[in-house]
Amino acid sequence: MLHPATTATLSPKEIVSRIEHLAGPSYEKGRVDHGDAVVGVTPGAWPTLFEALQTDPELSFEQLIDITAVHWPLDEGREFEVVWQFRSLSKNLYARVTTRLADGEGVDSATGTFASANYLEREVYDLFGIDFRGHPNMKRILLPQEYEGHPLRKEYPVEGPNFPEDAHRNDLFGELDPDDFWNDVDRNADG
Amino acid sequence: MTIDAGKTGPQVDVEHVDENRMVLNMGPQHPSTHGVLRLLIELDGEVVRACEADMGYLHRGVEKLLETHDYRGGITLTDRMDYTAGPSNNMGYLMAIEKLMGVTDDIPLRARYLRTAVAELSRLASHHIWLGTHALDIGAMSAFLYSLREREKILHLFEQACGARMTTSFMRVGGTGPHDVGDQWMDNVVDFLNDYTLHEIDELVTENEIFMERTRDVGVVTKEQCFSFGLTGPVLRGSGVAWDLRKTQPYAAYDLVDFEVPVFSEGDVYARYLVRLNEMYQSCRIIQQCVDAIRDLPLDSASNVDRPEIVPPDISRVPVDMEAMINHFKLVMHGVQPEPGEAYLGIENPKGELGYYFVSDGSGMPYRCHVRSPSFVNLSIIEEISVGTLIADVVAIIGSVDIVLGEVDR
Repeated sequence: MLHPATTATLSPKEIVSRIEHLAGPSYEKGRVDHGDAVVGVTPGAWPTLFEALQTDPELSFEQLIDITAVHWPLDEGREFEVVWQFRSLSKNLYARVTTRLADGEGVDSATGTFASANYLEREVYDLFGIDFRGHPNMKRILLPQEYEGHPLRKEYPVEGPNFPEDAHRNDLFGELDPDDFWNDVDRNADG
Repeated sequence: MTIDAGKTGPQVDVEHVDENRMVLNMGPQHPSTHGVLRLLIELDGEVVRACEADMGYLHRGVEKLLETHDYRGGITLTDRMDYTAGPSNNMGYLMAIEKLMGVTDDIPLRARYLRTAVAELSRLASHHIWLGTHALDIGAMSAFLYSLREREKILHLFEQACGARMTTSFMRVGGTGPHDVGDQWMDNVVDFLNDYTLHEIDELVTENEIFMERTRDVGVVTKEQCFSFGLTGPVLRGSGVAWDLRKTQPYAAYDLVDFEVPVFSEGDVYARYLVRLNEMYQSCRIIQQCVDAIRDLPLDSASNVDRPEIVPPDISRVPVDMEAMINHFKLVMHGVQPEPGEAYLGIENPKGELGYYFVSDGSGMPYRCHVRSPSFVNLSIIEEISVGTLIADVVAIIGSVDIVLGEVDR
């Protein structure tokens, strides 16, 4: 039976400095955002940092609870931000670790350390097109295998790629001509 | 057939199956997969040798849609994910936005208690669906009928509070919004608790010899698997880890009410059953305490945070007060606008940790909103623990992990 700590054993600031110590030269920047520890590292930190975070006696992040990504298309050369979220159940700690990648650049898979990464990395690949090197079964998970494109990229239109402009309106009302409205009104009703 | 015996679970190759084996396509239209889940199962006689889940039949692109709605408009999308516990999903979404805006500590007590009560009611509703269908899968027909009867009463309470049974869109950022409840509703909740017949279902199922035979030592999840697969919720507590976000990182009014976290260490289907069943008794305790606490509050106590940039003014002031009119107009047109930044908040949903991760660019729509859905992460363990069991036990395992496909696919 594992009884977690009722309060966090480390403050967010201490978590950031501990991850800075573990990441070594790969550490980029760390901050405390809305009470959460957020650390940015270079892609070179992975995959060794996964195991370091899991086995570190002070942090002991047993769970990789989530992987996601954010697309910043204007930030050339660093378009994608991959976000890993770790949680320690025994010590009641939480941290987010992020890495910025260029479009088309891959990052190491966490499947060797955390089994939860299997589905989560497939989801990120499916929706963003980010490749995770060393993943045993890298294929789409939510969309059909033959689907083209990655919908959560900012340039992907929310209506879908082949959606004709004004499709809704024309289907419902036919071609709309501004003059039609005025033609219906009998402007000379009373002369 | 390729089997990777590592941590990622074996995969089923339909084209190349051994001579003595058979690939069974279970779902997407199958009553025991609890939705449109497709399982590819490779069978050796009656024994499962490999199992692969195929999902996405219900993918609606909720995360993409959330980027195109303002923060208030996104509420309606959240209760369509885990549709068995709609109000609970709404609460998680709202509290994540409140964390992003830094007003978590200012939320009035009345709203916090009401959120807690409604979240626990939706936990009961969700667990009743699970209890009924799980027992039905294993052959206990009568528990299903009693269970859905109780759930119907809870949905009726939701309808009285906000007008909808399942797609509730309950409450707004900053408090209860227009959904404050009256004394009559709280009387109805107390009546519901007094007439609650969970103990009848408990007596029908818990000591049932057939049920115990089908669930004990089946689908055992170890503590190490829970860690590696990122499992949360009743699955984690059924494997001997006393982790519950309501206790470890309290939100809403959970730090003000008294309740226990049921934990069982066996890790089998029966342990997960006991965890959820005992959770339902605890939920009743929490709801009763919340109703009592709301009644102890002064009659004119606030139910929304006093911040005009978040909460619209009282509607009776809008036609007569210019300031109120401008405020109302701005909130309707532009919505709430958090400062640029990011925030993550996880809450203990009936199925596990439901997390919302927001990235704001300062506008009225989230730049990115990611949903960490418990069902999606918990589903991955089915591929692992089904291997080596009988085909009939796969049905018990799916029921015990308790997934809802609206949330898996989003």
